[in-house]
Amino acid sequence: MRLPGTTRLAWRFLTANRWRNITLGATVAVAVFGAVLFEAVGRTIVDQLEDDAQRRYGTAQITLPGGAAGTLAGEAGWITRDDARRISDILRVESVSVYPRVQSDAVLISEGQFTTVRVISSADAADDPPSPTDDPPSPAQTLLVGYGPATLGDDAASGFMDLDEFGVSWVRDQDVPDLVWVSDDELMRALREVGVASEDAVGNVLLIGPGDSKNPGAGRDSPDDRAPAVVAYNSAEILIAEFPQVVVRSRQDLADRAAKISAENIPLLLSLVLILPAIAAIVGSVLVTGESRGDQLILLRTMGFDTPTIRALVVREVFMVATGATFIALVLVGIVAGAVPNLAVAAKSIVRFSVIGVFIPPGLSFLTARRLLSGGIHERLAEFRR
Amino acid sequence: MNSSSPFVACTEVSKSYADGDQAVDAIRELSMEAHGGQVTAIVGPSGSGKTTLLHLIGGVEHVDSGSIIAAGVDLGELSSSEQTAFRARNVSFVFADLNLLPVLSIYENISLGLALLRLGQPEAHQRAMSALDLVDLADRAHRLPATLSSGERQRVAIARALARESALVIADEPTAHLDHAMALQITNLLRSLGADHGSCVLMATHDSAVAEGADQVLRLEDGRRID
Repeated sequence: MRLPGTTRLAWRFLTANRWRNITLGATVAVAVFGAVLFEAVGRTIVDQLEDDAQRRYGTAQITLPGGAAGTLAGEAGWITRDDARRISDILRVESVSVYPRVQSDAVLISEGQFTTVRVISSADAADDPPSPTDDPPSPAQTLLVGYGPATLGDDAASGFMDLDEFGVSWVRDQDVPDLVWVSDDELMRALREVGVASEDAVGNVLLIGPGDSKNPGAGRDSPDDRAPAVVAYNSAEILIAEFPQVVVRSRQDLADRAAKISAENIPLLLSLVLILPAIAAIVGSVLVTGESRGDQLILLRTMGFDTPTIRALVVREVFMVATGATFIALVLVGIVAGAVPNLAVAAKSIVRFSVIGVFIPPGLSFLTARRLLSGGIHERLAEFRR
Repeated sequence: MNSSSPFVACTEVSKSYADGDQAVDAIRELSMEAHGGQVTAIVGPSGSGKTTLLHLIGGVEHVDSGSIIAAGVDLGELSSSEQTAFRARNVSFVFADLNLLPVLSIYENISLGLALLRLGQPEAHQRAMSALDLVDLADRAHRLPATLSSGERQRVAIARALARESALVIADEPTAHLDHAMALQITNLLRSLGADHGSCVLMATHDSAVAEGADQVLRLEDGRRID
């Protein structure tokens, strides 16, 4: 039954119950706003992790299995120089991080850009490295250049080579102590000679291991015909074809390893942190609202209002509150998203949580009203009389 | 309303409720009549079946056996939704407490009852204000029930019945929480509903002084009529 004036009465219910409705609306708004924002923050973190993984790992990490002829022994073994050359021919090298024998700043060749080498000490520095802050710094006699990232992990440290031995000239910087300059061409030639880089050393990342950043001489102790093990990135399919035994780890795995948590679950976890208690609060608010209306609903029934009409009134009231609160929450999300650069606000999560905000509270109120209206009027009136 | 034709006629009405494993007979083979334009007081101790009888006559409950004819309608033949429509058309309730929606003003409470009658806005407004005038509350039309005394809230409930021009007014202990003077005032208003407006007023009360003002007194004990 559609009654004249019920819309106006619904509005009157809204305004008359303003504190209760404000509480309900605030709960819904916090739930939607928090959930969307938390998920966006989670996605931003994941994006950052993935970007980091992309930067560090490319699309995959490939480890040549140990024990096979001509391949490295696990992640910390050795690879033949032939295999190293084959791999370097396959891979497009975007950058090679090159370190002096004692970890410090490094030579970095990125997309063909010539970078610096910070020289720390003499040839014997590997056994007893002086502090970079020694004053005056010891003159470099032999420059050992490490290659490979120091940040990759324990199982993929740097290898090293003697630049003098490989004929790479280097010049001390006139102004900056402990800084030498090396020739890009000569360095790349040397890297190719040890099987690290190919002619087209541009593009993707080639990371070399093993070795130990705390034991930079390790790379020099390799067997005569061996180069450090190779942990390579990108061109995975080609490498797998060339070396069927390779183990490929996806970027996601690497990101998960790095974060020690499933990147897929971070946004969900973060959103659940807020959405679960908020949903509990919504349920509580609606139930309290419904229970407090129980006597009013019975009075309406005795007056001759049928239950569908009463239920519609209750649901409409909550729907109006929930919709308004959700709208406000989304406006706030928009403001925050505009204010915080790179915040990964996903349209999908906005839709998902908006649906929750708009439909869950009235859905609950429908169930509450149905329960309150299901009993006989006589019994309910008797309860009120007691 | 023809005084010889009862507005409410109960014949051999029985009603029982389950109380755990046992059935409690709330009303036992009760017969009675009530006429339009009169106030019928139903008196008896607590648990004697007064409220149950009112709920049966008001279309809130179904009888187990017997029949109730009200406004020419056999209530036993009505479905739940038809009972609802019957209440909307014919009945106004006045309770000891639960009378008004606390979030609506007095005027809106009365208008809410009129919404069921599908009146035009001018007529609804005129009826509501006239009813409030009759109970001497026109100047408080826009106040909330919480700001009124118990007696004033009862008067609003009676005003709602006046505005609806309900043929059947069911008052369940309407003076329960009122002092003697206020109880008398409410009783007089209920009597005016009958005398001046032709309503059939059924009033349950345990107050013999209130009952004395009724046109007819029906005494109940253990669900039976004993007068």
